[in-house]
Amino acid sequence: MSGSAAIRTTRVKRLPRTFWQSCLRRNRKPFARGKERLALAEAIASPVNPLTARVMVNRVWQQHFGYGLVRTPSNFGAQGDRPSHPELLDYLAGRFVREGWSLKKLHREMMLTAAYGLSDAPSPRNYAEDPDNRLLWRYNRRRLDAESLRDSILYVSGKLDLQAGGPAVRLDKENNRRTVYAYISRRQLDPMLALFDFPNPNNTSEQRLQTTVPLQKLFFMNSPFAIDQSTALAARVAASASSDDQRITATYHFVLQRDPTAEERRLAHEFISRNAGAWPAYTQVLLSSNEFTYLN
Amino acid sequence: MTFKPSRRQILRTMGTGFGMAGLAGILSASKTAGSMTPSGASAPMAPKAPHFAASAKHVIFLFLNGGPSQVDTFDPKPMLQKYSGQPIPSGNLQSERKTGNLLGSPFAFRRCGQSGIEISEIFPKLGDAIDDVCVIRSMYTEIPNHEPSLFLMNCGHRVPGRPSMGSWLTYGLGSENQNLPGFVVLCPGYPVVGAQLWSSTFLPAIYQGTYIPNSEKTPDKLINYIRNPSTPLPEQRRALDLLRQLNLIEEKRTGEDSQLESSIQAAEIAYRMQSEAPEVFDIAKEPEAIRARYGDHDFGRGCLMARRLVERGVRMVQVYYGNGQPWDNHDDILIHRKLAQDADGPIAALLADLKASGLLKETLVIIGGEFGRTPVMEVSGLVKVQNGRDHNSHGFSTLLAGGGVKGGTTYGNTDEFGFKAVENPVHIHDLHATVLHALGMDHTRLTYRYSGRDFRLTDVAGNVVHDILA
Repeated sequence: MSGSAAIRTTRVKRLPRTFWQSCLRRNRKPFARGKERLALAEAIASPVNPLTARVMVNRVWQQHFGYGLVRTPSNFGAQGDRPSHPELLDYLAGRFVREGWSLKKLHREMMLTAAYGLSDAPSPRNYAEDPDNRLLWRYNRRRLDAESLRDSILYVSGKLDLQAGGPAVRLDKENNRRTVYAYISRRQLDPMLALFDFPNPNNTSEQRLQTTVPLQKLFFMNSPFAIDQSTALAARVAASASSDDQRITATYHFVLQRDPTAEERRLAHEFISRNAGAWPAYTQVLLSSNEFTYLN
Repeated sequence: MTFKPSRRQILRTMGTGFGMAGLAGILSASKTAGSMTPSGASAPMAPKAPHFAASAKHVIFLFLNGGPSQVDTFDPKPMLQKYSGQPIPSGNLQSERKTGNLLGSPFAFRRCGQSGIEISEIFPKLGDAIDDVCVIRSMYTEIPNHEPSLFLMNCGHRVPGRPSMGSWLTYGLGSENQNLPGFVVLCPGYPVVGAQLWSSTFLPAIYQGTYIPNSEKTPDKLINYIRNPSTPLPEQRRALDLLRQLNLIEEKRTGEDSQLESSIQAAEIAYRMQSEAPEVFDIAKEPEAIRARYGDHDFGRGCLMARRLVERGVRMVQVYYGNGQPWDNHDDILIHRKLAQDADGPIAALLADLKASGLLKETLVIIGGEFGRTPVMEVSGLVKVQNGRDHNSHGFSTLLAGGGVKGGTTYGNTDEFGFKAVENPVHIHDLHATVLHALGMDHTRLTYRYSGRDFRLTDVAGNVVHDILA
């Protein structure tokens, strides 16, 4: 600021430090001298300040439903998005505070709703009325984030190491532990995590991005990780059943937790019959499928 | 008429879920640079129209990392030669370390081309091509340290966290080849700071630079997962066909969805990339005589790959001269001669090849580093030999060629000793504004809302240097 207005000093009345009026209409007192930081923290976390609880509730909601009730999670101001369900947001925020800011209770409340239990089944009529699904007439389909994707592939292949705790470990060939234990380098992010939109560790991130880029498909097609896990899955399938037909069913159970349809079964037979070594290629296709890599 | 896409369409268009919702301006977006419209749905790299007629479509940034010395390369200073060894009358300007008396250049300058621009003898071939080049002699930056200057030159801000120029360009314009990344970064090893210099930070991840370590010589090592170690392409095609069929069955079941659609397309592009990407990076396919002109070293091979990438429609290619900061000659400025040897030939070869194919008209080539060096000698005690120069943020040279730039010209000047830009000074923001202008974009309109405000490559500054554009 080099404008003259900033340089000119006019005598103004020095106001006592206090919290935003917009957040704290009642009981707004000046912060005690020398204890401003403590007072600020207390004002932010105060039960009578609705903003903090609303923001927190909205963030948890967006984790479960794909989008928040307010779709600008870091901006609840005039320039931000209006809540789609203001009463619901305030109900959840109020209850969150009354329940002692318990995230566990908040998760439970959300996950027991009828809206959370919806499938992502299409409805042309609803789509015509509300293409954004702001009124939550179906589940929002999402690509798995980097961690869920890696963990899910390892789980399905039977290789996931569920050991808990301990120091972070680099994501190398020998490391089959859950991705939450991955060593994160701020300078050089692991290429798989980077490829699947792990946020830049140097920035704040209000929400995960979900890109769909060709380099991700190269990972599914050609990476040693994808090939190794497909091979492991094929071996797991081979050990679980003896006929091709049973193995196709087993593959669907492992990867997609359902039976294949007649059409899917026919395609599978057709693919596998072409050569004897087709099983790892087949399991690799299922691990790359949209049904597996998207949450719906 | 104002087009009003649904929020879902906007989000889908970017292929990024929802990092950007809540943009105040977005609902009136048009199909121009940096906007998000359904035309780009499932193809965020699809070419987009610029704001206005562009003189350039591609950028090649040849980054001489470490800080090349202007008074030994592109900015001749007779007074510096005359008073070499004496104190600078006006006093030394702030640099990183302790500096002493004036140090004349050990290199001779000669008049080059029709334009007669004086270039150091260590760049003889570039000198011969000078009639295609505009030498900006009045660049300046903010801090005489590598990291902030690298960030400023690459990302428009001294501290990390802002998207790189290549990310802004691909965000604004997409790319013309959907089988290759739109923004490619070539460096043997890593420059100082590293991957943050080509990060998209808060811009969608698809706009980040694709880093290729061009110290590797085979395409398989250049691009991660580009080839399957065991499965031949026809088998992979069959697998991909099965994948497509299964995905279509699922889409029929769950309803049409552009996200799933783009996932299917991405797999097809990936498959095609396997054919095109190894080819473009396989410079062994170039005739021997061509390869000889670029030279068999990292920077030469990088320049040749850059040419091949731009020929195939890639929006921006950045070639770093070398690992670390090779041009950082605190000790002995004579090392510049060796460094220039590997830079001179490939730069001239690249300009000549682009000119011969007509691509120079639409390719803006930027040549330079993150700052310059002092005309006075470094005497810091950190140097073994006292024959080098310290960092200089007050003045340095950057070269532009092609893409609508007036060739055979110089712009601006440093003071009589080459320390500080005094005539028509050009800040990095001004350079960025000019580059965006050449690509048909208004730097004040190429914005992205993040964290509550609109961001630009040029932050809140930047003036287009119209005088250097034809």
